[in-house]
Amino acid sequence: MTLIEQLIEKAKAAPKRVALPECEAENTLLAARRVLDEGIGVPVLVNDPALIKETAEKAGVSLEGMEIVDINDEEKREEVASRYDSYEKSQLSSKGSRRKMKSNPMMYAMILEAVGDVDCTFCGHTNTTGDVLLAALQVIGLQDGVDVASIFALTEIPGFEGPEGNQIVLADCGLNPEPTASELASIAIASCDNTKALMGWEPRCAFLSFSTCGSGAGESVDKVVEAIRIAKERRPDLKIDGEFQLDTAIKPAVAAKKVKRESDVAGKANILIFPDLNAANIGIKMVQLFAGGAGYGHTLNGFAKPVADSSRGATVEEIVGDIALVILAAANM
Amino acid sequence: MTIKEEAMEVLIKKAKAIFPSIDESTLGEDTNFEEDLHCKSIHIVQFSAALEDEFDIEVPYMEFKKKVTFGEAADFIAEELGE
Repeated sequence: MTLIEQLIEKAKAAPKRVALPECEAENTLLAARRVLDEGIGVPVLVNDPALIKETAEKAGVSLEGMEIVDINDEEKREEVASRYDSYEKSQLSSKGSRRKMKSNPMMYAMILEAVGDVDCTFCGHTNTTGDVLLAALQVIGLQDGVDVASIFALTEIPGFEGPEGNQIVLADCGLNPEPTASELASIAIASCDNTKALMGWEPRCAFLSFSTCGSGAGESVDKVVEAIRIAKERRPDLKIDGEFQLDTAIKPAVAAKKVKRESDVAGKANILIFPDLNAANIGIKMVQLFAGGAGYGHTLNGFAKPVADSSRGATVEEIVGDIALVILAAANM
Repeated sequence: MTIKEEAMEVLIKKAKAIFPSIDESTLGEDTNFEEDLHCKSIHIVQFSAALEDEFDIEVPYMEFKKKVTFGEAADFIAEELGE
């Protein structure tokens, strides 16, 4: 059973309501059908019913049993908007939220999530990452103690024997090119919370560097050290440590040699925080190209409620996997 | 008043709301979102939402967030509105 198949099975144990606003895409409805039929979750289609019907006909998908929220229903829209007015993390004015709900199904879906009518939102199959991020920042808001959104990659690497078998989490693999120390701390905190929610692991989070415990020096090392201090201050409950070279983070023998102090993380990290996006992007691609590894993860890190930002090239199979991941995040957040 | 001037007023008013201790006399077209105000992405979202409300438009966020100063942001809004 692949990692995604395992996660789909876990999602079935606690099916949640997932809003699907991108109903102009046939793949969205094909995935919704599978999610409902297989008991992975309860899809809630948020869009114009005429458009949903048209897409369903094109895709040959039955809408039987599917819940639809009609974005043109003014009474319903106002009822939801009035409840959203008191959502404390909203960055929208009362006027702004009503305007967005009228013109933007994705924002309507996230507003339904913010008020608790659905548990999570799946999008990014037709909307760009920029659009998804903006909507989530404006509508859902960031979780406490977090400055920026980020994306982690849950990787599965054949032959790798690490603290969680052949799986390990890498972050931030997509959103923050040159994070500040505070932003790096945010990435770590959100990655820990998301990893726990999705995988059920106890997070052990290592900040990576070319230096281990002061063996090297430079501005980038200083930034990582400061990020660790901030992260520990904000979330003393989390097991966070560094700065470590990669081998020190995941190999117990190397950690024993290089880290001459107590550490809950050295040698047994299951989350690796890269110092910037250069390192993370190169790292994940090396995992994929040199080690035949696979990276999963379109659930955005750092938002107060779970949002999936899928890929515009995603297949139905991949969308079902992404929906399962965001459902799992909702079940355990 | 031109759209650019109106947009500048919105940006300055919003800056005062987000950063209450800021000295208003220091805010102007050259105010740099990142270097002067240390804005994070959530603050940029707040500025764009304020402009959307004022002008009843959708501000393209990915373009808007590339603007470095208040002046550039106000020029962008004026262009969006065809001024």
